[in-house]
Amino acid sequence: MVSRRDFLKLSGAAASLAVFAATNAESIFNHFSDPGEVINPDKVEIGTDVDVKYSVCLQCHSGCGIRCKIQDDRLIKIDGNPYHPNTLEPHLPYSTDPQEALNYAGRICAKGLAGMQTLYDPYRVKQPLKRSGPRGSGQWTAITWQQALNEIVNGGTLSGAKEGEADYTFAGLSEIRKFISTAEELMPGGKTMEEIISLRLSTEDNSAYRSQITEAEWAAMENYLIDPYAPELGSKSNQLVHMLGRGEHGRKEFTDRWFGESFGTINQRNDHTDICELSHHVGWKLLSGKTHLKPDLINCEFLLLFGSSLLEAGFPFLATARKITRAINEGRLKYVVVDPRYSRTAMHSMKWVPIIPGGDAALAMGMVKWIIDNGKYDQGYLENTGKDAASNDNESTWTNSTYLVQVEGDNKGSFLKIDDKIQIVAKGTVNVVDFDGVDHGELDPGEIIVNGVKCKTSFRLLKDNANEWTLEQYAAEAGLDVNTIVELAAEFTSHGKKAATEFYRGPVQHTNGLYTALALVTLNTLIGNGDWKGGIVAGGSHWHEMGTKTGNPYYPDVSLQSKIYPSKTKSWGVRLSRAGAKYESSTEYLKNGYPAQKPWFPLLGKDLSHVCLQGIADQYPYPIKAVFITKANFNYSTPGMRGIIEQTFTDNNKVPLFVAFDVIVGEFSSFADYILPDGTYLEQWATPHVSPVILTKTSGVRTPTVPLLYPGIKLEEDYLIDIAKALSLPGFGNDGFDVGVPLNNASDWYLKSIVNIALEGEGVPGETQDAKLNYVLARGGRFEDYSQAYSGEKVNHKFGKMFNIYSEQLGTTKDSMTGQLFFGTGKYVRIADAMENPIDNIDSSFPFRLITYKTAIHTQSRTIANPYLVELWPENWIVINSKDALTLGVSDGDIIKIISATNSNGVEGKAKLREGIRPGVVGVSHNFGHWQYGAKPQRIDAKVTESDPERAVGIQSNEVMRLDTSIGGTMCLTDKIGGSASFYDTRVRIEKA
Amino acid sequence: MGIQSTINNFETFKELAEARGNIYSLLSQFFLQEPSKEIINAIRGSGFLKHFSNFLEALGKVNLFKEYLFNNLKRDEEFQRLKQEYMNLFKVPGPKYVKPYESVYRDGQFGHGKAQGFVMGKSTIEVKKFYRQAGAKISNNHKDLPDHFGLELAFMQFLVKKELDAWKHENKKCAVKYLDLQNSFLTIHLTQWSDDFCLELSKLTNNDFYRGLAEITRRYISKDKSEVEQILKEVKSV
Repeated sequence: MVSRRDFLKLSGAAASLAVFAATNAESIFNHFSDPGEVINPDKVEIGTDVDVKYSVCLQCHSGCGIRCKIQDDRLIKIDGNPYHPNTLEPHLPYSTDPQEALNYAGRICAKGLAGMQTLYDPYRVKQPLKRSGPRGSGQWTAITWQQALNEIVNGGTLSGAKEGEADYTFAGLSEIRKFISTAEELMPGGKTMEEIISLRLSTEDNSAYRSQITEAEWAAMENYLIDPYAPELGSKSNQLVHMLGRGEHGRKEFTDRWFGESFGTINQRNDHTDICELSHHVGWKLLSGKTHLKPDLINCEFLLLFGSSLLEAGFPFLATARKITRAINEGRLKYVVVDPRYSRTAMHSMKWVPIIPGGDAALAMGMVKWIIDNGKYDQGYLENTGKDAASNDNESTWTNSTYLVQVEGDNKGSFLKIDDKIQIVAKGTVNVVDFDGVDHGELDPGEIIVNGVKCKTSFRLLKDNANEWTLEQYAAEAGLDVNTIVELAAEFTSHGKKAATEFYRGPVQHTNGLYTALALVTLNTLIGNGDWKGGIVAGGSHWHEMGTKTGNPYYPDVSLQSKIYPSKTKSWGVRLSRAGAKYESSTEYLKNGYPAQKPWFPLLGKDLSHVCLQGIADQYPYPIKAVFITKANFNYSTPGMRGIIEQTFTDNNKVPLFVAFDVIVGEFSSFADYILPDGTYLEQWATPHVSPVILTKTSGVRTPTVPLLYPGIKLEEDYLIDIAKALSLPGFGNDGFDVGVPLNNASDWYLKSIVNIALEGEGVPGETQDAKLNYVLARGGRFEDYSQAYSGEKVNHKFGKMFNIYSEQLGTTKDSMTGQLFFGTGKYVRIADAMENPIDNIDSSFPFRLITYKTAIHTQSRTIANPYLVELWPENWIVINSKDALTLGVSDGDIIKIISATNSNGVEGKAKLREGIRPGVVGVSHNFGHWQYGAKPQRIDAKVTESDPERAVGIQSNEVMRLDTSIGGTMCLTDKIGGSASFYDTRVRIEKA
Repeated sequence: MGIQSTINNFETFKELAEARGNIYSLLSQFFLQEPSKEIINAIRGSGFLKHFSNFLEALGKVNLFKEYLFNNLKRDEEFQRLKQEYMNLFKVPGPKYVKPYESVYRDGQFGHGKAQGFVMGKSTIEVKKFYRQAGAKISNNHKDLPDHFGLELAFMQFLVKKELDAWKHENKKCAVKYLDLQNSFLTIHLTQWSDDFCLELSKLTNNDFYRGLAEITRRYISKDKSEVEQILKEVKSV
């Protein structure tokens, strides 16, 4: 037996070797390093130096699982994760051993495969940059993270924002947040903030209002409030604005916590959904409470695709295209494409319906009218009054078709209630009864007068709206013939529950987008296809990373932490975008009434980026002091607003401080004062969800596949935590989650989120929390087996709730520009500006309508950085019908110019003559026409960076899209209800360049 | 023996970890690299052999090895011969090649004339997983397989180093975690094949250095395993 003494003796000798080793330059004695990560998952091993790491793609938003091969910390190959339902049909059972799983590869698309080039883009920003010339001039100084932190927190000096302007000083975050506190603390013994606001909103005269407030209160209010005369606007901390381009679950909750809950600004997130498909979300939400439901593609017999080109740009593209292809091959599915452009999806359709852009609701409401007139709706389903009635009828969903709505008086738009119970007319009677008193109600008992108030059913309101136009008028508005409407309506209603409509952004990024969304959703409701195989389904959803479910041990969602987060800062007030704010509860309304200066969006939330940008531009409703952006490229991506955005962001009075988290100098971040280089998605974390197209429960987890590529890069989360500590923000640091539960870095945040996913309910094997975590990480997430998709003739994960035919919320909300109530059902209205002037009238001298579209090869604003993809699809064009081209004397390949009322200089591009686009319409795909993003050199200190001018290839049609001149021309045409920025309503003229 | 007086500040555990780490470091070098002039010079240097001699005494009869270190290694031509022997044993798949990988010894039925395991077998994967789970990343300098005998010794050094760091921060919980890891790595990996491997090494070489190395390594690993168990028992009882 060796004694301890001998060991110790030997230690002296061996130490002399160790000392020798340390002086050896190669340090060959260190065979292991400690990467300092707490994450040591149970991964598969395939070679001595090749690692396999699971993560989730983010070339687009589909959230496909990926499997990466890593050699010496270099990403060498990306495959699909075969456990992930986006990539295989069926995907591997979750219990499959990771070693066995190596024998299978999921599929990912060209964009996903090219993701390596996002990681290894040579033009990435490699260290923090501070602007040293005017904004957007491309002149930078390389600085340390510490310097950036000092200046962002404490304020500093910047070069003039425009050429020739003097240097200026700006307020740091600590100054912006200086007076944050609760109103109660500010006004001890005085009025509460609610009382102040209610006093204001009932006192029109300023001096009368002022005279009811004490000097002490007023002094506190001047410190604390943006405008004491408009207290509802909120605290000065709202003057920090965060804007998010591509947000991801996990990341956006993190930034919401940081900016909203901890810093205390109401202007958190402001993400890009409004330039994506917002009215689609809002439409679904108003009618179902969920932001989107999708058709069960595999079992559907008839699919009516409005705009959605599911074989090239769906979400998730691969899974959607695969399911459709399979359903066609198995002889089940036929589908119709409603789209002004003959897309690749239209090529395989039974019919292409080249509709006039913006006419989708005319077609849909025409179908609604025909379906109602011909009694082709599912009457029994619609007559069911509630859950029990539905259940007796073998239905898991029901509608409010029979609910009585007041159509006059003070409560116009509200359901008729007696003793808080919604009233209906019992089936086969004239008796008005509680909705839950009978199983069936009358769909259209005519106008009913109850207690002197005129009422109609929800169904009748829909019918009335459908009857506002004749089928001939609808056909004319949609640019179709009546037969098409009838044929589609007849086909749609001849497959029982196995038919559905599908749409995303195409029909809703119009000024009439929300009503269109309602009409398209309602077609499904009329045939009662909810939860049925082949009908509309809610999808498998996901396990909950934010700690909202039983069994979740951690609480990343700060709203759940009132107990452990006592110093939580409440953000309150009116967003710059006026999202979620009622105009009628503002001082402006009190003084001016209708119309508001600019539209307000009471039904919306955190995702109204372009209106936020308009708010910054107009300093409406108030001026701001600093803007932070994350992965955002708004001057490139927002229709019509490049000029407004760039004017605003070169004005240091409107934007004193502009900080960008980005991976590259993008079009928007090129105007920043500080660019803070973030990791790409292959270096990041997140907990992305998937679309309801996936019927099984799915929680992919994105974990870093390689270490951060350059030593000068930091993850945004890590840096925001540094700033939080410097500002002493609550909710971060050693006790960030709870006493002794730290939130000191990104992995603290995400690993806890992933533990929540692993621990929710049964199903993840493992004795300990770590073992379960490893099990999830070793498979790239948590996935329910494919066999769990259906149960009998319905889907397993049911929506199980009510679909509204009529949205009371919408029907009782007023348009801030007209003071009129909105309509609560689907409806066709013409394309118009905010003051309801039809665009066709104003812009009649511009004969063409401009649309955009997507391809399978490119996505968003980012793929120009992927040479693989540019090789496959090297440029974009102005697609024009050959008949139109003939009239204009334009040949294929000619350089032509599209000019609009907003942009008289126009933009130039190559003409592409096609039969496959409706005459009178021109189409330009997105993704091209960059002017930064590596296309231009930057000067960093004395050095000029390399760049690739080829990245500027093609055109960006956003630059000719129409601004809404009826409200000052500082924002693009917009859906006043759903908030969608209009991409398809601009009329243009074509000239040969 | 004699640890009670210092038990509260973990001083003894710290010293033990330091010593054990150095031994694993030394042993792993002998397997991972051809003998270099520098190492040999360091061995020849003051104090080392004397201490080492005590160590060898404690391990048992390895006189030829000692003799070799004290006498033969002083000759330069012997140094060249030693380097050649290293290449023959560990690098060149010739008649002396000892195939220093766990999967060769464990994933087949070991023995002459019987099937041996392939490289990159199940054990290799298990070893690599173990490294990862312990938070150890194989350095890019290591171009050989993960279940190389020398690398497994180096991994023990890594774990002991982490244990030592924990003692330095007076973090008993963490130290126990790494002691547990050492214990299980010794149990489920190293001791499962160190005897077979070292005996095979002894058979294939006539060189007293490598015969001696095989013997002391084999014995040391087995002693260290009981040592770790003992330490764990003591730590947990504190």
